[in-house]
Amino acid sequence: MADFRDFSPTASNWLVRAYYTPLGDALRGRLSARLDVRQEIAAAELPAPLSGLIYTVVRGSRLWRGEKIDVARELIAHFADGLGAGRSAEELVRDFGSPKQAAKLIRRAKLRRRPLWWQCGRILSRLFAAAIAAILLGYAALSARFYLGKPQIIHNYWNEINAARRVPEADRAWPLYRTAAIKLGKTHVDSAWIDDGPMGKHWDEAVAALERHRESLDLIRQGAKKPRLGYLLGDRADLEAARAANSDWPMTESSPLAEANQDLISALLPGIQEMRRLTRLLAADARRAAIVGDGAAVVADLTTMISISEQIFAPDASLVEQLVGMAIFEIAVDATWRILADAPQVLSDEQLRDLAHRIATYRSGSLAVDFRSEELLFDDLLQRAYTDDGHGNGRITPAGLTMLAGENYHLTLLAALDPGKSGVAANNLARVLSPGVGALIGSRQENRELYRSLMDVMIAAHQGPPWEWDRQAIDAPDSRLKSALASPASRYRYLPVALMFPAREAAYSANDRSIQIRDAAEVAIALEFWHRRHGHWPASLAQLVPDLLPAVPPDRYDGQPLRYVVRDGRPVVYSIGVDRNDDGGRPTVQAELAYIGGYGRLAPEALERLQSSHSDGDWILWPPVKEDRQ
Amino acid sequence: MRIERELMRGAGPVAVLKLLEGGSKYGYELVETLASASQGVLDMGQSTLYPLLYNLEAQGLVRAEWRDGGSARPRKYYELTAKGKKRLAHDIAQWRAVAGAMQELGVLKPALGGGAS
Repeated sequence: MADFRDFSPTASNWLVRAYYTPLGDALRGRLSARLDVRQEIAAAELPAPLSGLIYTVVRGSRLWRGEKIDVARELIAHFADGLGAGRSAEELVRDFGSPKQAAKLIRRAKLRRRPLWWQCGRILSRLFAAAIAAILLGYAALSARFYLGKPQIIHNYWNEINAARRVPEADRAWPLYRTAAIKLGKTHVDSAWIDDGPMGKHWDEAVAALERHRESLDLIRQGAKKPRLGYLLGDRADLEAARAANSDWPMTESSPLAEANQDLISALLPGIQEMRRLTRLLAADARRAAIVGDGAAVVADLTTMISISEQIFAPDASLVEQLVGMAIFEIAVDATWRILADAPQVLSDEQLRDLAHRIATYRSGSLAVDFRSEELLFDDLLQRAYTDDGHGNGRITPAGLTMLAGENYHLTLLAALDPGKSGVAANNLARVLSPGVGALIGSRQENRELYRSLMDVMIAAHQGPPWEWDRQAIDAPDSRLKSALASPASRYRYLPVALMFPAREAAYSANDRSIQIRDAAEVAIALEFWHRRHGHWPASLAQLVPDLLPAVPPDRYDGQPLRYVVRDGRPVVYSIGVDRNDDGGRPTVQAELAYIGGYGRLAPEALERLQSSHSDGDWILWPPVKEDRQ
Repeated sequence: MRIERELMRGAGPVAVLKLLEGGSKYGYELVETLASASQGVLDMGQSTLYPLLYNLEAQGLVRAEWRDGGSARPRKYYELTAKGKKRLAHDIAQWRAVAGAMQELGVLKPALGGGAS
């Protein structure tokens, strides 16, 4: 028996009639229901098999209502003719053939007669569907390629850096510092001990701590005599030393070891950070020695601090290490200044000369920032984030994308990649979208090339004395990076560079501050010598040249000689500071505001802004400003 | 004898066009005429005929018109268009060429009155 649908007339209500009424009839107010196939078939009063057959064919054709009614009427006429010719309903059904096949062929034929706009729409929709299919197929291929990408971690930069730092054990200072720090325990070395000296309310506490930790001080002094620091990243010996001392410093069981080759950026340098505390202890001891009139101990402590600073500038020292080294040098110079201001008589001429020589030869007089370690950090990120084609190129991997997301939570989409920060739905969405985001991130090679090129531009912009630096050239790497990240697509393209490009302005500023305070320390010692010889202060710094100074050092903000006034019978050595304006030795509201903001030539409007801000005033180099403790 | 589907696909349209050359006809009439004139050889199921007619109509070879036809129930009549006539002439020429070639190959025997017609 043929696979007919059961046929029954449509229930007649006004909604159904409205549905089957042509628009023209409806507009004339007639609910004709002329397009109702079932009513049409029912009205023909054909035998049930024929009604069912017609309904099956018409319904199966999935044509428009107008087309269906036309086909239905023709089939009704056909079967009525057949019955009229004496054929039975069963014979007619049999001769008709397959209703399913008929519906399919009728649909195909009728579609060819549809209007041009419909044909165009059909072609367009098919093209659209094909495009969507192609996109989905392409995305599937992209996803497969993305998820098959695995980084190849070839370099262990921890070991490579350590290899450059490794020296014979007898030449290493670090084990001595480590022991000193472990023996020092949790003792807090307050910077007020140094700044306020014996006038401070915690001085008794300082003296007691210095007495208690004499052994640590000796170890630090011994360490400073060693030629190299020899601090190694993720050194198992540090872990063992901590275990032996039952200490959680300098390493704990969860601290990364070099052989584990975790991200280089996870090297937290606990040992280097600790060097500040050891240096402050020495500075406090220098203050104590000055009070008891022990000039030799003062010089020993101060030169020890300078040596520690120099040791920290090891080969491949990270930017963080270099900044700590600069900070330690500042602590040493600051302590020198305070002793010169409060108790200059404690130092003999010879001791003063030795100290001046030590300061002048700090880092052999060559103070520069080294960004090689930053490049190693970037190369390490690349090897962990990208595939490696063996020729320096590769594509971002899922692991790499997660690394970048971890560094950049403000990007909503990438934030969803972090399981700790999102739910299951967000993770699944992120998984689906990750290949697309990955495709937006530039290749390993193009990111490395941009990074190197920006570094070259940055280093070139900082050549020569800082007062000649061109701000436009200094800002060029930022401008280039900003324009490279300008469009939504390219925002992701150079994400690795955007995340890892170093904060070089702060590094250069800190380095130049080191140079300036070194120069100012030489001037301060020269002034003390002048005062000892003449019983009064010179009228100008030029009088110190050439007997006590080869030349008056330049103010690093404008290249002019450092400024000098005698006020209330006391000399004041100062720089014009970041506002580039000589305020006659008037300090800024807060001392550090005098030198925060960077070097280089400024546009007039930028200068005007600075001169009307809290940066208005001068950078008082000597004697040290005591405002912070008052 | 019923002929193969592929052969019918080529023969069906030209047969219908030829029947319509004699004047307009409705669906059932065409089915009956085809079956009787071809001794059942070209007896195609109505499930094939109506799509064939709609295709010819879509190609502009025939035109359809509802007429009362003298009875109470209206019928849809099909008639050749000018384009349909041209196509018929063209198709007949082609069929003749095929039949001639078949005769040459001995597949067909010449009709008693002469060549294939």
